[in-house]
Order: sequence, then C-alpha cells, then structure tokens
Amino acid sequence: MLEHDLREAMAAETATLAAAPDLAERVERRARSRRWRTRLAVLLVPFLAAAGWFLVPQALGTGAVPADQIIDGVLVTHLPPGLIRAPEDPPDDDDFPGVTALWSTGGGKPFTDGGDGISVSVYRSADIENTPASLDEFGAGEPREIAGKWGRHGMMMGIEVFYWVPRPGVIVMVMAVGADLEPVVEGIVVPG
Amino acid sequence: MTGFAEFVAARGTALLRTAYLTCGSVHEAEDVLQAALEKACRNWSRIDDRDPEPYVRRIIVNTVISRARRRAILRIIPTGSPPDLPAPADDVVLRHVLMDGLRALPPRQRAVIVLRYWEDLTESQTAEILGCSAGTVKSQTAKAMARLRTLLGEEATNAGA
Repeated sequence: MLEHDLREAMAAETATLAAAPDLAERVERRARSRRWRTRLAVLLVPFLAAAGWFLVPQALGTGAVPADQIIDGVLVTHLPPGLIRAPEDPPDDDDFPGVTALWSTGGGKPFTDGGDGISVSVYRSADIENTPASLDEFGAGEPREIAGKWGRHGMMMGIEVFYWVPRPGVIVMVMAVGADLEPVVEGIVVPG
Repeated sequence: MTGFAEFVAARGTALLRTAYLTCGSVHEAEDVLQAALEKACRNWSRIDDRDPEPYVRRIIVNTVISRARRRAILRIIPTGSPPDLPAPADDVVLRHVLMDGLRALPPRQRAVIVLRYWEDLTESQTAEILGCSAGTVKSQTAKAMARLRTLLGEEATNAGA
C-alpha cells in the first residue's frame, strides 16, 4: 500500500530531526528587533518616498516620476512606451515581504496571457545583504552586471529577470517579457 | 510572551519535520520554520486563544511554495539534498525511492502529499491551508500518487533487470 509506505518513509526520514532547544528564544529576539525596525521604517518610508519623488528627478534632470511608478519608495524612472499598469495580485505569504508593480500591453498578465510587460518588485528584509550568499538565498541567477549594477540574471521561457541589492535590506527585481530590461534597470533609483 | 515558548517547545520538532518534508532540505526547513514562527510571534496576541498550529503550518507550506515558485522563475528547481545520516538497513531502497520521488514532485503536489499523509489532514483541511478547493487537492493527490507509483514501478523494473 503506497500510502502506508509513504508514511513509513516520511517517519524514518525525519526521525532524527529536532528543533533547536533555543528556537523560541531566538525567534522572540528576532521578532522584537524586527518590530522596532518596522516601526522606524513605517515612519521613514513616506518621508523618504516624498523626498525622493521631489529630489531625485531634480538631480537626474528628469521630470517628476508618476506616483504609480514609485514602488515602496523605489523610483521607476523609465518604462517602455505603450505599457499600462496592471492590477496587483494579492501578496504572497512569503518570507521576503515584497511589493510588485506590473506594466503590460493592455494591462493583462504577460507572463501567462501573452503580450509584453515589465514588473518591478521591491523586497525588504533585515537579513538582505549585498553578498553572494544573500543573493543565492533569494534566487539563483547567473552573476552579471547590468547598467552598472551587480546582481543575478536569469532567463526562462522568454522571461528575463535581474535582481540586485542596491543597499542592505533591499532587493530590487526587474522582470521583462518582450521588452528591453536594461533601460528599466538603469532607470531604477533607490533613495537613501 | 505567554504561551509562545511552550508552543515552540511542544510543537517545534513536528513543525520542523513538516517543513523538511515539504521543502526537502534541512537547512531550508530550519529557515522556513524560523520565519514562520517569527510571523506567529509578532501576531501571537491575536492567535494564542486559538490553536496556533494550523496558522504556523499554513505559513510554512505557503512559504515553501512561494520560494519554489520564485526559484523556478530563475530556472532552479530545488530537489533538496540527501539526508546527512545513513538510512536504516531495512526498506532502504523503497524509502529512498519514495523520498526522491517526493522531492521531485512539483512543490504544490509535494505539499499536498505531506499534508494528507504526514499530517493526516482531510482533503478540506488541506484545501484550506493551500487556499484551493477540495477537488483540487483530490486531483493533485491523485497525480502525485500516480507519479510515485510510476517511480516505484521503474525502480522495480530496474531492480529486476
């Protein structure tokens, strides 16, 4: 009976696994620390986003970035023409809390429905560092530099992906379908 | 924090085992469990009057599926690593074939199998955790079991060759 054999195999496979005795203590310590960082971020992000919205275009000599091109404080200063903002999916219950914005032909989902599209995701976690280990934990593209940014690059079924750590605590990921990825990456500005 | 440490002491190992079976890697299982417990810890005042285990289990399973989906986009399909310790001598081939088969399943099918046959949850309880219908759980279970049966059949054929 396969179900029985599976249960036996799973029991045998996990028999030696045990949670660390200090697990609860470590978790509580991390949760306390993260709670303070989150409170601080809640206070600072609107201020930084507003400052970035005003100051960065001045510094770059570009026009103001539309509000829907500011993703969790990160400015998307370049998008290919003809794309419109698509509705957002509910966030994943993920270990990397992330905010994603998608622009596509006709406002659909290019990754499943066809058409062109660009998505920009901003992930924030105190554990993110600009190290190979941190990038490996996030995903597993090939090391590559695009528009002066060192990160990881991947390609699958016509979807081009690049992600990098612009500063500790933040990963920005850009995905492109049928559109040029590099100018979008070049136009990403992370204030602060 | 009232009750949190007691909950982790009582259920931490069981949850770690579920995480391991769902993701196939001890290191990742520990990481996912810690992340899930951290979320539970932050929301403990809201959940401690209910049974927190289904809440934590849901976070674990969905975190593993989310990670796998993100990795799949980047061409990486995690198949986990073999266990560090030697397996017991009896049924060693069957166990390894089954566990390799489990790791090779798509993440959602793997989660369904772990929840149904390791956690002994019903189809509707499994559906609630995964946010899908009981019918989907049924069909995913059938597909996964068919795949495992095929693997077992191939192994038997190889062994007999």
